[in-house]
Amino acid sequence: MPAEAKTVRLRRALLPAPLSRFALPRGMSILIAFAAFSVVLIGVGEALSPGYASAANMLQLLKLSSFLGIVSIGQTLVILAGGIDLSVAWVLTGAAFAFTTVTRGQNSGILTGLLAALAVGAGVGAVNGVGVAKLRISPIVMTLATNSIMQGGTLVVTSGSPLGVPDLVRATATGSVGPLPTMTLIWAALTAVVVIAVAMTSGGRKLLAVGENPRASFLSGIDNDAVTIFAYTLSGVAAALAGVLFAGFSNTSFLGMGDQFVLPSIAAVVLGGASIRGGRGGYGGTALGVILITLLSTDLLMGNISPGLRNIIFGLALIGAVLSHKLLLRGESE
Amino acid sequence: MRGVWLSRLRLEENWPVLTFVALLLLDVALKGRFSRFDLQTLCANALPLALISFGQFFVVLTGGIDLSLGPISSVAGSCAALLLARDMTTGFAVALLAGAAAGLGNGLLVVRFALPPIVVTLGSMSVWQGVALLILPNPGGEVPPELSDFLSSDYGVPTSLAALALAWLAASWVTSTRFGLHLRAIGDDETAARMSGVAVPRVKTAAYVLAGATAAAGGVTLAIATSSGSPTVGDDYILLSVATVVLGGVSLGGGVGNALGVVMGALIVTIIGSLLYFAHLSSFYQSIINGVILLAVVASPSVRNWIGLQFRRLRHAG
Amino acid sequence: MLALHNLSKRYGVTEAVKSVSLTARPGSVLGLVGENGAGKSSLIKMIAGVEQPTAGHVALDGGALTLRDTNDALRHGIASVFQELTLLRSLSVQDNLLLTDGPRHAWRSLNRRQGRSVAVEVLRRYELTMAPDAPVRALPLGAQQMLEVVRAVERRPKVLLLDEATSALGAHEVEWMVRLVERLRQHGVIMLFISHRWDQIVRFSTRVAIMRNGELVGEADTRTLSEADAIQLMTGESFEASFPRRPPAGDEIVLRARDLHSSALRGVSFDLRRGEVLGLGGLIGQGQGALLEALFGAHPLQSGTIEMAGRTLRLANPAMAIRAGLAYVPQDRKTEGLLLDKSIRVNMTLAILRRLAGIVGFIDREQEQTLVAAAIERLHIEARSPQDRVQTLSGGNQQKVLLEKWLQTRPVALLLNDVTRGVDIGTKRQIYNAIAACAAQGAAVILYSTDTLELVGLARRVLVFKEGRVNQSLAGEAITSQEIVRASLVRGGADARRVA
Repeated sequence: MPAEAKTVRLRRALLPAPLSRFALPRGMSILIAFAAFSVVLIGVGEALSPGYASAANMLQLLKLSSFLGIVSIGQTLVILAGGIDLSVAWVLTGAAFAFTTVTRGQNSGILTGLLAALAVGAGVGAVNGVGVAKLRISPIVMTLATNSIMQGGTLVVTSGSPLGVPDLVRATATGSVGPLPTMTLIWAALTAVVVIAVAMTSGGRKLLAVGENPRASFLSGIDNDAVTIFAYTLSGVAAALAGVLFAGFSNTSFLGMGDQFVLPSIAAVVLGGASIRGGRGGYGGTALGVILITLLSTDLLMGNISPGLRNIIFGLALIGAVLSHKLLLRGESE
Repeated sequence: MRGVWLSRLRLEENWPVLTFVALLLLDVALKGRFSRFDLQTLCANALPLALISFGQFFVVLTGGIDLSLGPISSVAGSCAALLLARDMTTGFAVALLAGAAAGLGNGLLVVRFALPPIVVTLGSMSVWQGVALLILPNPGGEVPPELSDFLSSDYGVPTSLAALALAWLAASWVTSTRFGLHLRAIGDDETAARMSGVAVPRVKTAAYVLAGATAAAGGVTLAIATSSGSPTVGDDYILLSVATVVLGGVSLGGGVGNALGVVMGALIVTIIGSLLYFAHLSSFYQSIINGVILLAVVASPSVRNWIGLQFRRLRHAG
Repeated sequence: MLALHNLSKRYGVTEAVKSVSLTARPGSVLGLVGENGAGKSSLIKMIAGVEQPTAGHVALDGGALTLRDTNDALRHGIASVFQELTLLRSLSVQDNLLLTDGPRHAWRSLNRRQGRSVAVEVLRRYELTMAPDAPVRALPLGAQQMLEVVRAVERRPKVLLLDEATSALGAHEVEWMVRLVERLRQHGVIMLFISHRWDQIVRFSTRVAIMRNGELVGEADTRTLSEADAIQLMTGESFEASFPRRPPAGDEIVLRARDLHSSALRGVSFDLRRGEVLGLGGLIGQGQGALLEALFGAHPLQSGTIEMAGRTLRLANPAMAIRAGLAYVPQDRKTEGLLLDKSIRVNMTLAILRRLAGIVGFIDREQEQTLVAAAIERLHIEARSPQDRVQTLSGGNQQKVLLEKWLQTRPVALLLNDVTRGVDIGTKRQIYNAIAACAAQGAAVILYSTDTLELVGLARRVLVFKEGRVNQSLAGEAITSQEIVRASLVRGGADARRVA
């Protein structure tokens, strides 16, 4: 019996009778799962370090999440389009270095620096898109290769020496507007834009169409290649933006600063309920996934859990999340 | 005239070997020599990558991918570094069993629950990275000097070359069996394979188990070569193993590829590193070159098709 | 002896097979005929183990069988060949034949040399001329089908099921099949054979069972049953009545195709008039689908011209074709036509996004809602809401959503590729009405159908294809099922070279 049928049977076996036949709309299940998990994680956090569950701390956590959140915007778009972006690590780092090199720590250079950074992101993203769409290179290989090239390129061009960051950017990344951290506001605004764009514009429809069924999309008059290239370009831009802001937060650009974002960004997308094969999901779920990941990471850090155990728990959590998605969501073809 | 010569070379199938030979000639030309020691070093450096990449090869043949092979090799290497000194048999056995068990975990999740391999192995990658850190928080352990000496010695034929050849033969043997044929069948069309009588769940799970064990062998080799274990040594190999199989002509979509290509891929990557080292180019350049070569290799079918299309258009117009 | 006892199959609310009972003796070949959606495939799938019956059972030699999958069925001696091939295309013929039991060396490695001899022997025994080393992908479809049949026969089955397994066989290959069937008959094999090709049914089978609407409505000896009688039983009524009245065609030419050449077309020319329904007939794979795709910019043309409104069009992709006023309903709604995971609403508006989206791309929700509601109403699409995922709809309703998606583009020319395939009778009628309405409003329709009755009922002219060109052009009274079938098989005369 094929695996799909087995999964359905397993579901029926695990869940009590009435529940197993009751299939929630996708959005609802994700929200409920998110609420449940975050309550647990926040509870654990509070137990480990009283004061964790305070509003102030929650806002801090949102600020921390925002960098991964911005990177994940790009990753979400690319995965929705049926691909994956493994180059965000060094696009982020490369863009950050471009920024710090151009601005030389001066506020006056910010605009040019930002343009340089975004140009790096958009450029690499476009190359990724062209390679995947026009040259039919597998996304894994394509983005792996550009990541490698960016790694070498950044090191060669800048010699890797960390540079300072203009005050204005540092203030943006670490400061607040009233009670709300600026980064949280930026992330919230971007989230709103992306969620609305995907759900309500023709561009969003095209993205999902290409990701779900390129043939049907092509026969509907959609330019698959253009949509793909656009998605990868946006991913590059998002990574670049995150790089600039993260450099501001860390008060420097440093080698390897992007490595910590690659796999969590993919994990966030999967946690958020999007299908890794493309065509299904949205950024809203990813944003929730980002928050969960941050909650989990901080919990693990506070619990003084050794790095080894942290990794294990993180990995098991990811597998557990995907498994439960599979079992709870009505036996849809994944 | 050129066309005949080119077609005899059968570029389509043989470019991994040809590329390696070209790079080898370049290496010899630059260094002005190719001693037995050079050969031994080349093979010794390529061996761990080849072994881990063989693991990736088996999984990719079925149309999947395994991102956890790097950390699995770290775990195996760490086990080896801790146990080999005490008792060699236990050391080897535990390391290989650990790899097989890890592979079994991957296989069960992918096959029983029909979860996408990339996500499953992303999770298990993290798990095994953690396990490696638990076993050996810092690089250390010790490896019996006899083993390290053995690997770097030369009995008429450098042992590392023999080991590499042995690994290649073993992988070739696997692909020549019915099991190997079934791996390819699953990668070609899983549904058709099932309808044709292939025991898909069993074969697919076995692919992941085999991959884990092979990667573990690679990890043990690394530990012996460096005379110590390290919890993070395998991390580089996560993506490097994917690049190696692609360079070796294996298709990520499944169903296509052979063991010789994988060996060539590993040798190509290794020799590029050695060339750059010799040219005093920092390892930064290695990343760029690896990336460019990877792209050149995967883009070439499309580029060739495009060139062919342009020629055909010109011919029709004329 | 194979016996079916009250076999039934229900998919959700649809009863695909309603309590079918029949028997087949050893050495008999039973042809199963009926229109699209009559239940033939579902019936065969239950015997093959692909589907489980919701009621009734299959019995072989007196013993009732519960078949969980095809391997189970094989163990009981039931082998099946479906339209979807189970060959591994990147492997060689030899590997496909010996996939699970090829000869091995002592050390478990496959003995390729011995395997080759075995393969050569098998091919010789079945009179196949393909090379054992050839990758299956490189073989023409007819050869692949023959290989697929051979693989099934090699299992020495007691029962052989063939579901549209011979659609691509040429005349020569059909003779091969006849000889094979004869050999199997002599060995006492029971064969069930589904085909929409009456000519093959007549050649291969001794008896015929006719299905309509999920029920078995008749059984007869093939030799005594005429095609007309079979058609009568299949449709159950005078088929004139199930088709809407053909609207008169205008004179204005909306599309002019001249000398189209491609990998599948060898010089096709025709004019298409306003309000006309132009039928494409002929055996499967003779270029009809390729023509439709070429007109839609989805199949590259090597030479030839397409003119609309006096301008020569260069259709490099479907987007350009849509802008020129063409619409194409593809053959496979699941893999080519619909986004199964998306709602009816999203699917229906996918081709008219430009019209619905304002600046920046925001979709006009209100306009969309009204539009979709009206469409659901018009075609009687059965669904709880426009938000329902298309995957949850029945085949007929899915096809209606797909058709409506293209009607929304208000096309000048509507291209239909086997639009009633796998659709129940009721839906078919609704689709025919929609096509007629479309034509009445001035659109031109090109209708490719594997169902000759449809061509007879709807089209004013039929171009019968053979080997990539128009073999014969039939018009008016000359359009009959027999004429279409005859023109599909026999080489055409001077007729073929004229502009149709």
